[in-house]
Amino acid sequence: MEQLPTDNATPDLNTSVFKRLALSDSGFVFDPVTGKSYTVNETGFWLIRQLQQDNNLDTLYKEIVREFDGETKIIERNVIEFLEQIRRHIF
Amino acid sequence: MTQTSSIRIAVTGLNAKPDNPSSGLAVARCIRDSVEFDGKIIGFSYDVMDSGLYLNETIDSAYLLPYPSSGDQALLQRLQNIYKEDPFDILIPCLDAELSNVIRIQEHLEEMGVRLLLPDSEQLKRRNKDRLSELAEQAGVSAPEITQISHPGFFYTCHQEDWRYPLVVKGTYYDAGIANNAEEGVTLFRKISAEWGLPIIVQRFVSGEEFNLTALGDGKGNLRDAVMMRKRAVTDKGKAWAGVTIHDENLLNAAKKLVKVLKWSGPLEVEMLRTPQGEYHLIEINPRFPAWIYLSAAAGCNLPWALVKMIQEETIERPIPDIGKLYIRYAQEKVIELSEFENMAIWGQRNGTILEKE
Repeated sequence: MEQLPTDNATPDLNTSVFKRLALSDSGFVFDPVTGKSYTVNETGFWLIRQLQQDNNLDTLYKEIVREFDGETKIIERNVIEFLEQIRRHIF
Repeated sequence: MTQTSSIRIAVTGLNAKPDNPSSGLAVARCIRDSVEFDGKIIGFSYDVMDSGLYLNETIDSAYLLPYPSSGDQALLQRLQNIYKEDPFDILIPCLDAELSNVIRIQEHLEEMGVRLLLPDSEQLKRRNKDRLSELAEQAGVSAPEITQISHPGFFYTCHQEDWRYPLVVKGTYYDAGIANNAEEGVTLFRKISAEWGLPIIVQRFVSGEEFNLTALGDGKGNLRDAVMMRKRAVTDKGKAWAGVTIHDENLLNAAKKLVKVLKWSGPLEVEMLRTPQGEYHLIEINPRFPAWIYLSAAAGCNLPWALVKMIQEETIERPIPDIGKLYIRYAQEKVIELSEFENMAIWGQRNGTILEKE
């Protein structure tokens, strides 16, 4: 069984990889280096946009808490899980 | 030399079987797509059932050639006879199996007035599957280790020489499969050797996804006009059924190194595996345009037309291919009159003057 990231996990944020992704408002994401395409929901789209702007995790958490309702701890965990998913698929 | 606009271009490889098409028809479509082209396309193929022979919307006239196993002189004689009645200025070979024959008769063709851009025999051999590791090492490109075998007993003892399963089993010219154990290895050995002969090539398995690059070599060590593609869907034979244009500097640099070492002349396709860590491993170099070459024209970098220009020693603007152009291949029927089929079966031609039967 795949191990889920812990609260202390710090995903490797290679922003150059995020920057190369082509994002459409529809949630369609295309990686011009690997040729893979993905679909993300509104929150995922927002997150990738933030990561393309060189935001570090602390800034990202602050932005996301301001943008979305929810407990900070849960939001942080969800962000880490999402980033882990991205890492598995894109990197 | 005939002007570009009214040039007569011959292409081979008109088999368009949906699961494993040759590239000739796609090359012809690329040329037809060029706004500068207003000439004639002559098609050559080997089997009366090759559908491209009958596609008059793309191929103006079409002829059967003797199979490559007939040898270079039979090919030359046939081309000379066709040329007398239906001359052509440029020949673009699109099949691996015919290339060594065409290279051997290249001088005769050029004396007739036909121009080509081909590698020489040694360049062709250096990219053979059995010499690929050696070439990769010279170019500083990674490639899975290979060994050649002539007996299926290898698969029961290979672990003693540190060859662990899964292993890739390949024919020297064509066909490949993955063996997960000795029994599967022996089955693949028998199947491939029965069709394509010995030796069989065994290659260490590398986990990854296949990426392809097609380009032109200028014969001086430079790679020109590369178009890169990742397969998005494959047929049962592993051929691209759908693909998308990409750009990866690592793939491009690997191809540049290979072309530099080979001093490749003419079209080629480099097939590489990309591991999850992003490392590229050389799998194959095909000495011709790939079947997906129409994607180059669709992406704005029409490589077959660039080849025509290169052969004519004309300088052209080098367009950068669009990234994210996706194709999905489809099958369609071509309906023909029985008389057209009869002409091809009896006379080996369509739409030309009837040649004397050979």
